[in-house]
Amino acid sequence: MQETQLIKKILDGDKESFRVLVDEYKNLAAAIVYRVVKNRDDTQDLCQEVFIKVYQNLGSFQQKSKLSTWITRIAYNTCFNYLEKKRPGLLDENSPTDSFTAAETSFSSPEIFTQEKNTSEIIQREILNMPVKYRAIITMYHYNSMNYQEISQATGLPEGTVKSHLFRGRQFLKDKLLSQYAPEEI
Amino acid sequence: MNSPHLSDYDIQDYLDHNLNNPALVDEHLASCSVCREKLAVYSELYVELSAPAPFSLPENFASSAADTAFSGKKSFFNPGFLNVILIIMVTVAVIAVTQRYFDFQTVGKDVVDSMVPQINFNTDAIADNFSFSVDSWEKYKIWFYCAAAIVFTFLMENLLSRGRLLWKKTMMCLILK
Repeated sequence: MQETQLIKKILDGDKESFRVLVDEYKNLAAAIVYRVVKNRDDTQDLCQEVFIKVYQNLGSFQQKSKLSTWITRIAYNTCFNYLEKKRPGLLDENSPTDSFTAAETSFSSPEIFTQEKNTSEIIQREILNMPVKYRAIITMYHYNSMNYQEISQATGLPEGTVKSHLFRGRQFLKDKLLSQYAPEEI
Repeated sequence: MNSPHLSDYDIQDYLDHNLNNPALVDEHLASCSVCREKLAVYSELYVELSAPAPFSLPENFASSAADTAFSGKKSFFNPGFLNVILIIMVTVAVIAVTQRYFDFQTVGKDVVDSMVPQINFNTDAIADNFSFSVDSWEKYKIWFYCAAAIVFTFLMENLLSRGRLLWKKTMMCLILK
């Protein structure tokens, strides 16, 4: 079913169509929310909040951007509000990494850290240790396959800033990876 | 390329397919093991970044979200709801105060007379012609006020919602830039 038809049906009150929409985009929202808030318990609640906002505001969606971009924007704003409420100042530019939930993530205990031998685990852990702006944008670009323009629409940042954050984030991860392994081991 | 090796930017642009002439990079990579190693690290990173986050929502999430959304159970303290209540209260208060201190009919006539004095606008005559007496105004004014209050409420709610969005966007740009 095309996006336009799906939206029309939802606006006409078709619950099943909304369920289809949620099913289609839940992983997209979950990826952003989890990578930004880094807390499994809150991720599900925030995703629920995201889709309720999607439903409540669907009538005002003007289809100037893709539906996925619009939903990402709602997810991003919802996370932003959550972080601001939970830890004011967390999004401060000067904080190199937000050590927001070192204890809340499943990867970060020292015991597990010393046992990590696999690249994938290191990368997943380091993604969660990156500044929030980098990990949100990296998730949008790599996992949600959004381009610079779409990320710019979702975050409200200029395309040049998006590209710069993406570059620095990946460079940060590459450096972390190299600090764990010699290049030939990767 | 002034440096003998590819920069991180070059390699990321190469993997993002952003280069106008990737053949130049291919040519360099063919003869440079240092850059091939760097490319290998980035390639591995790109694969891992595209992998799903180690979190997934439950199977029944979509049904649950649809049920919640369609149940119409909006939070009582929803900002939109509070805005509407606030605007209605302000509107009623403004109407009550203005009703108490202003005579709308006299003021309205004065305004019309002052705006179009050159044609000697006789508002009393017009009111008579349209059977718009003081009595009928008193009878129907409550409906006029209700309609005005509803229109005003929706306009203000719309403005406040847009204002909230603009505020969030501005804050996000300021903080994340």
